Amino acid sequence: MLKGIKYTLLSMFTVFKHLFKKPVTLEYPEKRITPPEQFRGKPVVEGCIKCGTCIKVCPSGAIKIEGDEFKIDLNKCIFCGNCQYYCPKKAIKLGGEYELATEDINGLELTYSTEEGVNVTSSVEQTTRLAQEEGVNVTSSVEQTTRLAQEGDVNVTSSVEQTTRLAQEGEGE
Amino acid sequence: MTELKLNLGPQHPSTHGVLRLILELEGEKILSCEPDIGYLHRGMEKMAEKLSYIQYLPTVDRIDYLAGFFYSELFCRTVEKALEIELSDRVRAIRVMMLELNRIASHLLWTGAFLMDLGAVSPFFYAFREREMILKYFEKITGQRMMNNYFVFGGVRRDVFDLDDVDEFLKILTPKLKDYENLITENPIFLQRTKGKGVLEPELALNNSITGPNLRASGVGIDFRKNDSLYCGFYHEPVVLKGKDAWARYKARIEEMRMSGCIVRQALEYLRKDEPLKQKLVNPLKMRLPAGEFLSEIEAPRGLARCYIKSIGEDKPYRLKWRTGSYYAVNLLKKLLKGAYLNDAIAIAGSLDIILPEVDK
Amino acid sequence: MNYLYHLYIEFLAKHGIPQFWGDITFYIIPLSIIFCALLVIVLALVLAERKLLGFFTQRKGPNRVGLWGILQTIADAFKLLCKENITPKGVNVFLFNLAPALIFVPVMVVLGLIPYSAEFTFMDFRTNILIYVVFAGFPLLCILLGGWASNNKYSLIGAIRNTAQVLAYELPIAFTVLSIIALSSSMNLREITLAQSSSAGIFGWFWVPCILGLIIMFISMLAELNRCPFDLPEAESELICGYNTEYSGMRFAMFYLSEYGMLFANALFIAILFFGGYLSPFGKYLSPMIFPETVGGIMIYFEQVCWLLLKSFLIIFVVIWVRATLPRMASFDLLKFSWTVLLPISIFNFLLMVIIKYTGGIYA
Repeated sequence: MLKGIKYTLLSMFTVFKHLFKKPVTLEYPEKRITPPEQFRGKPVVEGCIKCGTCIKVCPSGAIKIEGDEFKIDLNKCIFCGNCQYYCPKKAIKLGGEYELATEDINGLELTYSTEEGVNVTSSVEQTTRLAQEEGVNVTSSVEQTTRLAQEGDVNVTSSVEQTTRLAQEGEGE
Repeated sequence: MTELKLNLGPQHPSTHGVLRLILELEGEKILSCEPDIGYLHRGMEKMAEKLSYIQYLPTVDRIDYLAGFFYSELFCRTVEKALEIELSDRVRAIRVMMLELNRIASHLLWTGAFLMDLGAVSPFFYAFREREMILKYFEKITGQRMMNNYFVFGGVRRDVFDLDDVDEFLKILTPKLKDYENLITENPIFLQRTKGKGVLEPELALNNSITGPNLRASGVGIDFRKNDSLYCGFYHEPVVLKGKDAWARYKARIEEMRMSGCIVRQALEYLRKDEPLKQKLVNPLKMRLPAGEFLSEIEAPRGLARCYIKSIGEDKPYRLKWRTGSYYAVNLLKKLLKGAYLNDAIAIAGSLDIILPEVDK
Repeated sequence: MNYLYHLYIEFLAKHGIPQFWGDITFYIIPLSIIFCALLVIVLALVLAERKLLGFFTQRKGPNRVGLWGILQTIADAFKLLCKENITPKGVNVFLFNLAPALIFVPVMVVLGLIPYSAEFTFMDFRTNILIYVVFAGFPLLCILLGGWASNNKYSLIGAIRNTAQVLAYELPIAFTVLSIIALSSSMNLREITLAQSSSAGIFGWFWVPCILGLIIMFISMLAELNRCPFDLPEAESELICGYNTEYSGMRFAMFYLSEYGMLFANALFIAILFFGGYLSPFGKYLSPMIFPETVGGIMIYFEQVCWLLLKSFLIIFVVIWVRATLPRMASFDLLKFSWTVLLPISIFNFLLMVIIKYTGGIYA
């Protein structure tokens, strides 16, 4: 009986100690953590030689190379990093972007260009860059492409078409 | 009172996963219990017949999401056995350190979840806070917190660094485990709920192929790490308790966490010697396993895990089979819950540490 | 109370309304004061519990809705209001709707009995404490009604289990209350408070001789309220659902909020019985020193209310602390604990108090 009382009081005291420690809550989205260097987030491709190694090691078949376009389907990608590890030229890198939720299912198919001399590779990145140059506040790539299209008074069908059109209207890259 | 058929349905407030127990009750006593599994079947074994070995490796982490490193290591070990690759000492030390850290993380989560089932809300959050340190370290080294994909055939993906983080974690592990002992182990209400409940006799356990902490808490000292070539030089004695009930299973896991801490410390000392990393990696595109059958085993947090590969000389396995520890624990529930009261059913089922992805693969 | 009553009658007389109407309508004033205070306190308690549980587990509680999460409970209550009120088929509609409506009645009655200060006592009968003990067991009736009227065998089992638990813990409460009555030789809550004022200050309060009684009362209070570690009827919803399975929307909110109302009332009760009620721990009151002469006299009454509330909030803190620590007790162990451990100790405590009373000392 006495042992029971002693241990009950001991457990209560243990919990009480925690009242004086700092809370470990991180108030997302006001405060975000920058992921470490090795973090496997969104894939970015630059300098691909189209050898096809990544297609052979990908578990889910998310990578497709058609002509000059390198397509990754984020619906299928499991962010395992096999492609990054086995690429002979280190062309594909899984970077630090992890907030990939979007309302447009076509926005999850990333297309990169494997031509030489092309700097900006992804359609999503390009749209963001253009929008920021235009001075528009960016929240999601889809929203912004829609907004840009509406400001430019253009009919919108798909983000890829639009980016191409904007690029042609804008800096012509 | 007439008999009542109750569904302890696939959706639980507690974190067992999607397990369905069909109980027949008479008043408060359980007459019979029938587990119904298969809600999380993903076809892991069938999938292996279509994917090459390097393609299958990232998906192996997902067999038991809390112990991803163990199944990854098990698969690599089977392939290395087939290809007759030997691991260097540094690779062994890295693998042992990661495995034991993963074991600590898994047992911590079990502690939190078990106590949440019983009604205490604080240990759950305390366990997650410790686990956070381990997961942060994993993220630094491997790139992700849980499905790490860090082990490859012949070695590891990259060398470890920042070993001071592990040191810091080990420094707080001992006082935190003491905190858990103060908070939970001798708490009179916890004792009432778990002492004498779900008694597992050694013969019953051995007849039902139970391994891991469940077996060691019944007095049988079988630990597969003893004869494991990976743990050569890092491992000593198994943790054996004689209680046989749910409390003994809880205590066995706490003691195992302590022992894992010692092993991590030993591996850490070895790694600080800072030798260059020598590993014989396999070219995944040209990899073919010789024809034959290969079997290897490892002591996962929930029991013995085995991998059987039958190869006919191609770059894909012909047949792959997993043996997991929780599968037999679910079978044991049929026998343990007979005659128990309904209140105790949750405590008993929780103390066996069942994770459904392991059961359903 | 008298003062307020005379003020009211004078006010009505100025406007030419006879005293008869004043007599009848007077009690609306204290009733509305209690009602508003109760609403605010219950809302604050729900939030306080969530935030405190957060701080005990090293995280912040709700802090998104309003500054520091102040509007959280209002948002929750609003959400529950917007939910659909489902009435299942085959229920006894009258009783099904009556149960949540009745559950606030004991809370309001009990809050009216408590002496908040020497002046603010709403119902000052000679046998206050008896009425308190009777009404503290009243929610049990509403729970039984709700459980039976739900047409669901699991609700019925949950309600019956709850009844067994509450009945088991009523007896230790009764004996502890008896021992306090023996010490103070009065059944009136205000006189019990006054009996605790003595020259020994904080040690003249009844928690010193009756410390066993304090612990028994505290544990029994947790059981009456279905709080951890005795919250089996609520938390067993994983296996057999509790009495409020079939309740959704605002009706569920009524059960939920009334639990916090009873928690507040019980905390006040313990503060009065054991910790001196509205008496200040320093023996003298602080307001005559702070405020000038004339105002200081009246501010004493408000200060007494503050002391009482402070003590009850400390007790509520300990209740939430217990919730964060201990796991749940299983139902048979619960009943065994009450009948075999608490009841003998409370009887022994009663005899001890009688002996202390007759041997004199400051408690005579």
